[in-house]
Amino acid sequence: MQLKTSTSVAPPGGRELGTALATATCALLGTSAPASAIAQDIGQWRVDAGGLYYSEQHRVSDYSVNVLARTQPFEDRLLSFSLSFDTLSGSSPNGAAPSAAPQAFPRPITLTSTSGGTVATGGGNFTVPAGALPLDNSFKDTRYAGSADWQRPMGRLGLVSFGGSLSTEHDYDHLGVDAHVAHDFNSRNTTLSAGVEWSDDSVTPIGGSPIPFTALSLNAASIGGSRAKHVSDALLGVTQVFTQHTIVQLNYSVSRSDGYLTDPYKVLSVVDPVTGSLTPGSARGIGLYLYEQRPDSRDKKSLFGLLKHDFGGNVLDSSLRLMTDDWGVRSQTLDMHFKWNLKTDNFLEPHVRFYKQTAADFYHTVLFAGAPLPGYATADERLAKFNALTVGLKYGAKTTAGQFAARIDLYHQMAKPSPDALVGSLRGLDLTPDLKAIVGEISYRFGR
Amino acid sequence: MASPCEVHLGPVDERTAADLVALVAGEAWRIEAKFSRYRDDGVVAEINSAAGVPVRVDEETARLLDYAAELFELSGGKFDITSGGLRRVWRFDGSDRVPGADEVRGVLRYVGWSRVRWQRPVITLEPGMEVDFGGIGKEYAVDRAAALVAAVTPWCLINFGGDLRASGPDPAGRPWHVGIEAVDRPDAANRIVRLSRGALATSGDTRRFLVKDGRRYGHILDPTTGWPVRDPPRSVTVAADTCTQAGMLATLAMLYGRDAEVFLTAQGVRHWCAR
Repeated sequence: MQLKTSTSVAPPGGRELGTALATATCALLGTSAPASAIAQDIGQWRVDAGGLYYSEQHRVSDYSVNVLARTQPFEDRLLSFSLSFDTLSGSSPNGAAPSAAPQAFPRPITLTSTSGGTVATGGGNFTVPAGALPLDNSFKDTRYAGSADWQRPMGRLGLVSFGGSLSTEHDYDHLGVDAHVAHDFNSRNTTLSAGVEWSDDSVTPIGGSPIPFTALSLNAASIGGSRAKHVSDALLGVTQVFTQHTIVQLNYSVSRSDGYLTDPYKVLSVVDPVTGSLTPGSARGIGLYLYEQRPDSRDKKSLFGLLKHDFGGNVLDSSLRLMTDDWGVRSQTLDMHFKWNLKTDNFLEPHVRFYKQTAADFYHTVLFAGAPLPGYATADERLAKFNALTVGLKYGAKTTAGQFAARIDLYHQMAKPSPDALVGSLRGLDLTPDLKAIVGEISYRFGR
Repeated sequence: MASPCEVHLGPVDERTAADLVALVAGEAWRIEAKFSRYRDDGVVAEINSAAGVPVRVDEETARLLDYAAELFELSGGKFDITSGGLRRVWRFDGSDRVPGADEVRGVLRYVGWSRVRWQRPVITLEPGMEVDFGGIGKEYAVDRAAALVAAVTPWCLINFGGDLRASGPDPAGRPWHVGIEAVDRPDAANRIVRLSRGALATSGDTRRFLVKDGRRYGHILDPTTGWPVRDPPRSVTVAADTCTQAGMLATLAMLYGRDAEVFLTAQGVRHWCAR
């Protein structure tokens, strides 16, 4: 049998057929030319790329670039990868309090990143003027981080996801895994979710980890090698759709950190309990500063509530987080975003955030000469009592090829010294100067 | 339409939704009743049973016949609404009953739009010939229904058995997610297409075929030869501005057999072929 086939006839070329077909179809349907189709494969990779700049006034600056790639290799399956790179440099408080007299600090190690790796150089002093917050200006670090997530359905109404993350910088390595499940009930108006996260971190302080409460000096004894830190988190949440326009979410989470939680680069000033002047140290011209010590575990509990309301396409997103831990820190965070559509293709999003925390039980702005040493002590401002305010604005626009967004946030942190620190000459000093920072971010999502 | 028909709507109130569904269903039934070749009270039966007598048709039927004539020209005779005559010798029932060459030649006498006298609004078929709007009707119905709904709400997706059209994304700008069935696993989507606007139509060669001497004869018949198209894709899905265009491009691609992808690429349309 001989089959006649059509393959010897070349397909009609080019788009003339398409144009003629479009014209004929318009005539058939009795319409003018319809808007062009917008169809996109879901199996394709979607890529978001962004750059972020964070700068504290007179302190550290951080530049980072991030890439997030997502795809749906199968129906209902979601795979995503993220990579980020950031570089930090500048000055960071070393924990010592301002003093009425100029202060000098030994600089045990200076960290310099070069193309060949990190070079540590030591020696020398740096001085801080009277009344100024001592800052160590040798901070320089580069961090590489990556993560992967896999999400799949579990039954008709459930979802399960697994993730992993890795990051490395020269004195810190992180490995994390997580798993989350969610299940819809009540005609999909209620979602219950649960998750666990675990991380295995390792801290390798430059110059070893100092022995707590020993004095800062050029050749202070230290413990070499890495110190372990583990963090376990568990979360339970419920999301409820109230109306077509309102969603409420409540999450309760617990977190436990174990291991080396001390900051190896932070010290506390030892001052005279009456005059407030710095106690002399063993080296000439250098005061007495003791390395800090924190507990080796921390338990946190937090409650998070979120309300999302759609005002005819403009969306208000407000959340409140209450956190308490066994270090004595209690915090409240109120965060609000309002996405305001200017046109269909662009929006403005003002942002405001209030943050308030109490000091850790072992936060001391200074230690006193002659007084017994506490079991734990830190002068890290991040564990002081403080309030912070963030205000920001984001602008987003759709382009023909993707979505562009830019945001700027201004951060203002106002900390309070521990009340016992207000002695003698310290009373006239700003022991915890305000921290101001700016965050700028530009991001682009390829594809609409 | 001999297939599940769906209307997906963005946020509208219940009453509007019910009205729109009724509107779409009404239009689908109207077109089916008027143009189905399985009904003996429709316009198709009237034309096909006229046995050489001229038939005057209404404006809508005339537009469909104009369209069929245009497609016949554009496709070099491959798209032909008179090809239904070939079904007299080709029955795709999974058997090995492949007709002989003389049988096919015999029936080809009743096939060919060029033998039809079409002088708007009068059509005259030679006795024994028949027309069939099966290759256009469903997609046409989708576009007609979409136009009716678009006059009420901008957020709508109409799906008649896999041929569908979206009038726009939902108010949040989120596109519709449309699954394209895997050829070997019906009811499971192996691709998801995000459709913000426009249409998707699929033409397939999946379940109807003959097998003889180890050769598979698919049900896509080339009216210029009377024989099944060789090596067509198992399934072709095309995205286009309207469902009718998408359907025509998918059908033409099948008719080009092993050159289906070449044809679609030359048209510059987004397409998905499964082989």
